[in-house]
Amino acid sequence: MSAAFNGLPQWRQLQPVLRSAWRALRILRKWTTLLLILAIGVPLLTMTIDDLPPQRVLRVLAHLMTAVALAVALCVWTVFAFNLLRQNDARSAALVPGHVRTLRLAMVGAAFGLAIVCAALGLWPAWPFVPTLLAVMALCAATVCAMRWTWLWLAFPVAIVLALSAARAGALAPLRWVWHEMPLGLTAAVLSSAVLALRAVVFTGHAGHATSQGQLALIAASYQGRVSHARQNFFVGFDRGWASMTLRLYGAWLRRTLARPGRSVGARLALGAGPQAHWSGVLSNVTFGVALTLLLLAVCELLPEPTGFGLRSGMVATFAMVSLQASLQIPPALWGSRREQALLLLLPGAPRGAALNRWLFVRLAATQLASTLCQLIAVALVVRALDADAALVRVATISLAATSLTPLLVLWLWRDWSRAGAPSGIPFGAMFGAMLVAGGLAAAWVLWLERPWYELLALTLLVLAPLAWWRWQRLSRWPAAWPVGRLG
Amino acid sequence: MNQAITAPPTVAVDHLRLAYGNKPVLDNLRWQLQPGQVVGLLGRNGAGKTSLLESLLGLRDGTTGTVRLFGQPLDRLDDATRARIGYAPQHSDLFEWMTPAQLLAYFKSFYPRWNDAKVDALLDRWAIDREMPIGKLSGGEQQRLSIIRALGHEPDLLVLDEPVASLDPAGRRDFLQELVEQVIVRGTTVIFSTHILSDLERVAFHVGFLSGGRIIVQAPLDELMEGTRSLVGPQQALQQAARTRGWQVLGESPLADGRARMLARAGSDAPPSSLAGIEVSSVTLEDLFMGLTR
Repeated sequence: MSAAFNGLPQWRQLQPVLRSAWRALRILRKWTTLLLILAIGVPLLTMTIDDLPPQRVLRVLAHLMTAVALAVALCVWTVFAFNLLRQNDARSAALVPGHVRTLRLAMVGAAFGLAIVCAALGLWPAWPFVPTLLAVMALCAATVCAMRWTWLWLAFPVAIVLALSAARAGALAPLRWVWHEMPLGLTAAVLSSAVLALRAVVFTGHAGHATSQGQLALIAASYQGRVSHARQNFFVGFDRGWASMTLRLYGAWLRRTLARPGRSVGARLALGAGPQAHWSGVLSNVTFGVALTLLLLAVCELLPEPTGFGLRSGMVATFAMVSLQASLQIPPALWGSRREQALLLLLPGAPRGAALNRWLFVRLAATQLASTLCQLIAVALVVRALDADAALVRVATISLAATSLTPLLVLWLWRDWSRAGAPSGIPFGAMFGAMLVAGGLAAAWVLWLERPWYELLALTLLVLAPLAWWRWQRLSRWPAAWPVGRLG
Repeated sequence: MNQAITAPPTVAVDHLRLAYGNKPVLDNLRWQLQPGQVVGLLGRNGAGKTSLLESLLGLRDGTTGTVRLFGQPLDRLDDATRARIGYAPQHSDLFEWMTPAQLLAYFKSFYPRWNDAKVDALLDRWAIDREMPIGKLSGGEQQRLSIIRALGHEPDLLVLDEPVASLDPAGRRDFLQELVEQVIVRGTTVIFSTHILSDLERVAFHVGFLSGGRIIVQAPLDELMEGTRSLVGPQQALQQAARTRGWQVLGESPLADGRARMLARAGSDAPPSSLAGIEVSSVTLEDLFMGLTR
């Protein structure tokens, strides 16, 4: 195999490498979509409330577009890095060793390429070329390291916030001095550090990667709707807390349900589809999202204005995104537990056909509405706790209005599950797109029509009622929802 | 005994068809299992064993034909009938988020009857940690747990899809012992698919061969083995002998020089031990498998 491989021209060697990257993109589709939408959506949402003078619009736009391009480049890089880590592991590798060597070289080339492209794009908003290039290189190296040591995902945002605060307070003056006095030295230091970091992850495929492979496998499994204990010991940081919180709540509810023989078959049956598809799993993840947003809000409080205000506004706007949790989490979870569903259908008392469809319809609607309600309460409490100024209250009201539209997403959950396919990135992208549209509608409702958010909620429920009736009628004609997508 | 005769077949399949795209998997399949029958289902990889077992239980869409379990149409099984069915699927890595104790308590909550003593005894005998998450159990342990779950409510129809595939020889022996001593003795109807022919010889009283989307042969194992012979000789002589004696030709493969090997099953008469110009030998289950599922 290796001899045959060495005989191939260089461009032919890249073909399987690119195919493997495409496969990695398909695994990470939800994650990259999330990053992309947040990278684009949050600044846009923040901008909607920012009263920019016209002369600043072009300049801000240039910064914004370059920042978005940078975010996209980092997403692409993240996919590359994820792919390489997969290829470094014997269980998930799809490439022969010769291809992996090509992939490693392509990774290093891509890091430099991305840095140069981003630095060139940065010339439009007049960002300095070399520092931008160095910063992108450092970000690429940091991203790769964070995929290897996942606790860094938590450390980096904190470091960035601290660096921003330090910059505002003038604490970065020594760094500027070093840059002015020894630009080549600093450049060499950053580049060599980046290369060393890349070397630690990119150029080795030894057993030391086992931990990160376990973590990545678990992340991939969770995005495919499965919850596994198999490698939970590897799960560290927030991810571990998140997963164990979900399982703990689910486990407690399972014990409680089984301890009461009188509990309905439906309540017991819902537990069989797994924690990710159960309301306990959805609500614990919503709670986690709220807690994380609150934590970041608290950090933003420490920042000087106007950075602090901008980030706070962005975070409050992000609250609306958390209410997508049910719609994002349940479809892959139901797909992931379809074999379990097949067993559940054989149990005495389990509904079948239209009865099963109606039971699932009610469950999913309740979960989505409960998720929305949690969001509304959280945002209202946060605004009250922040003792916010008028501008932030306005952002929060837009967020509440956008959240008020999310019950409509239940239509996505009321579908013909028998024909559902494997989780795909397209519906998730469409959902985030719909959320951006919802943000625009919510902004128009609050800023232009100057109507309170709860009227939008009432209007949403009013629209939802006939749609729910229409779907309910169709349920009896659809095939049984379980096993989702059918066994194959 | 009379009750057993008058009782409807445990499984009655009529004209069952299933296709994946343009490829037929089950083709007009007819099959009946009487109460208490223990049937080993044999077939090559991709012959449709899993599809057949899942179709029997209503887990496959796109099937046509009728399936009746305990005399009831599959789509109208009442709860009492469902409680009489046990199923251990091929994939045993299910409910990974639960512990064995949780899983068994969960399934117990649905059934009107549950044999705690037997479940506990099996958990102890097969050394399954009750509190370890199922996702952390080995493949063999997961399969054992899947079998225990299927046996817990003492079903009258037990469907096992390759139940011993992940078990080591000791585990297989334990499982077969349990199957013979506890399950079959109760008069449970058992269908199990397997590729391990030696296991099947130890347990199954009947074997069914699935090939071309149909059950081409189903017969008591002893009867099939005793009544079937491998015949090697000139092709025309073999065919002539089969025609005149009324043998059922189960398979025929050409050899060199106009000779052929034939698997032939004698009717009510005892099979011949020798024939002029034809080599006659007894067959093993493996010979039957190779001949019938070609």
